[in-house]
Amino acid sequence: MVQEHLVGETLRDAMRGDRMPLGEALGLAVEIAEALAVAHAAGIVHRDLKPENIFVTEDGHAKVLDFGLAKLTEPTIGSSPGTATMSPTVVGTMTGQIMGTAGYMAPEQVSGEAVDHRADLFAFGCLLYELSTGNRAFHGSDVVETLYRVTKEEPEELASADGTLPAELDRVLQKVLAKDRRQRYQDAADLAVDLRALRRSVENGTTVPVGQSGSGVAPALVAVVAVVGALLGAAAVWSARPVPVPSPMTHLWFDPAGSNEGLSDLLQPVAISPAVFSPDEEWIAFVSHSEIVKLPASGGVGQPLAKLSAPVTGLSWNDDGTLLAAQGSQGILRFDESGGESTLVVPADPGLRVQGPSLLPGGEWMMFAWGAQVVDWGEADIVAQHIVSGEERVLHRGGTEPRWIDTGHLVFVRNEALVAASFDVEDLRVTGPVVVVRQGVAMAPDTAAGHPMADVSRSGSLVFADGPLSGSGFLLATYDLDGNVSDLPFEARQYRNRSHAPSGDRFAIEETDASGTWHLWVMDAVRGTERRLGEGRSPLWDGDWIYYLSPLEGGEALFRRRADGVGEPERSPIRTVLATSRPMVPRSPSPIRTIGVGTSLCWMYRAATRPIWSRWLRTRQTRNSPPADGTPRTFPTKRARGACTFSTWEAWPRRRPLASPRSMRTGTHQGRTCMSFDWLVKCS
Amino acid sequence: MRLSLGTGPILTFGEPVDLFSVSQRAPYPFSELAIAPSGNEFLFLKPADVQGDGQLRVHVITNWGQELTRLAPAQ
Repeated sequence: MVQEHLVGETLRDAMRGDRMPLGEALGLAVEIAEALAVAHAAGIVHRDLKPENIFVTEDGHAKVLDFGLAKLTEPTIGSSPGTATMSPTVVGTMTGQIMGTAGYMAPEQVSGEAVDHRADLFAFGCLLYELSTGNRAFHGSDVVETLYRVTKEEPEELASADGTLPAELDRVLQKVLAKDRRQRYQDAADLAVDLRALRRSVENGTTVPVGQSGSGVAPALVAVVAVVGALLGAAAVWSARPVPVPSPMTHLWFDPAGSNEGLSDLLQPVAISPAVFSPDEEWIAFVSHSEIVKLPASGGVGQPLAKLSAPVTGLSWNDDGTLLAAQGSQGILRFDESGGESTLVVPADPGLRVQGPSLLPGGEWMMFAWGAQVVDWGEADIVAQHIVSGEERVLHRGGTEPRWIDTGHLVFVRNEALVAASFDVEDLRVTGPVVVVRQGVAMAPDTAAGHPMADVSRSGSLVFADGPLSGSGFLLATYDLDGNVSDLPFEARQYRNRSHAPSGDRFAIEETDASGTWHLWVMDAVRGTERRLGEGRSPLWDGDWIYYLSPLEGGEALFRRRADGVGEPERSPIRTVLATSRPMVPRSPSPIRTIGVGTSLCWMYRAATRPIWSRWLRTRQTRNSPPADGTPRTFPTKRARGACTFSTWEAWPRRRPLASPRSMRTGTHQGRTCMSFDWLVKCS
Repeated sequence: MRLSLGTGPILTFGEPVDLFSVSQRAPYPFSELAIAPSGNEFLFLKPADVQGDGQLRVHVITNWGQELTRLAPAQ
């Protein structure tokens, strides 16, 4: 046997009872992690990693000693003669017995469970903590107390030990010292990658002290620090894996369960949308039961990354190891690929739903789609927001799931088609016509998410699921209460918004033709007849009238026409709403879905660049009370308008939407019984 | 899902109960449902070209950027 002759001292001795300079400590930590990665790849688990088993050579390199010793020998309880063990060692080889050094043992070792390489990673975390702070991560007056702390308690917070240490070090330590091994780094190689990045940051002086990463720094600034440098990541449903070799179109069946045991164990297939690849394609992340979970792409055990408070409307995994998740009106979250706390990058806004976030090259601008709360995703706009100043720019009106491609294109989805336009990423300006580049892209079954079952990688690989072709349109059908489907005898068209007559036998519906013109139809479901009402959209059937929006000089106006077709269209009596002019662009008014029947009618308009829903509410709240006489009233603000008519009920918006229909509430307002549903409040 | 609603002076709400699973009956993408005033029927949009079992097929196109540049020349 030939062994390397080493000259130096153990890490315990090198520490001199104190912590090491951070740069030096990280240099050694990287080498230890790399050594562990090699050993683990060879199937060797150390199981007794501690400073006494690390040798620091004269030239400052780390060597891991006694690899596999605990696995191959069966020493007696206590310190081994001839070694420099400083803490009690508890050993055993039978199932249920424990082996290792108390202060460096993983919780699963303490519990007597079978251990794997992740126990070494926990020990490494203890070692790294000690190197950085000079304090033991887990230390008690005796072995029992130490083991208790390993299993039940967290080490002293890094900020308490030394607030000048980097916040990123804190993140690494939290991850590597996770009690649940499924929450830890899953291999030493990943750990080494993070440590190398941290070491570079320390050398460059770009770290954020852990003492300033919490409340001491404005949340927005934290978000900025977290996001700057991130590149355009993977996208919404399936991230396209860039493949450098040209190949013809390939047809695959999407089989979410497939042979991936981890997936099939964790999820039902319907629960995995959206899903994205990590930039290195080693992992996938997806949504499962209100959590974002990551899973090795080759199979394995899933690891929860972040808890969600609302359905995800877009997910991306960026090159800097962060993920962005849009949650409709809850804003956009950013969190680390290793888990931990998430940061709200785009704050929640009751009047705004966001979708499909990604970062533009350079990391200074975030791009996503947004729409007003009551507007469907077909009317969303693509915007960019500066992550430092918060400046917003509308890049294109109409579209979702925007992605930048290195070819110089902005690619997004509109009307179930993939469209593209040349785009100046420096000026944030569309520089060419928007053209359809791929038709028939399926949209996710959850229409509230607004994302397509498609993605484009930055390098230009495309993956998509085929869906209804744009030219084919939709048929109209009904479910009964048992879920039985009945097709209605009407021609397939590009239908969208619809509204039933109070009698229920007829409905008004909007169609978009190939030229983008909206048409209104009145369908009689009982007789199977149809009649074109005129040009317009967003119908609301209210008594004998159908209200709708129709083109008017440079914009749209609210019209109404008798539902039986008698007479001509006429301007709605709610004329004051129509007095909006620049800078107001009444682009996306939609009927509020009122509760019950009657003549309640509300419209909301949004501003040119942003639905100022909250401003409208604030203005509304400065007024006394909702109108009691049914008089139409407008609520003018600087940038938005709204109006309601009332009969026996009044309607006005809530300050904030409720979480779900199950959040319905009742109460009183000025002596009247009120109910709220979603963001609408009604009083008798 | 549906729930009962009492519209007297005091509004009351029952517990939501399942009606049927939409995902099992409509494997294709579908729009949200419009409820008829009677509450007994739901209008929805059904893709006109759904065939077979409605399973979606996934396409992967590599080097798609070339086609993109051809279709939408950079300005």
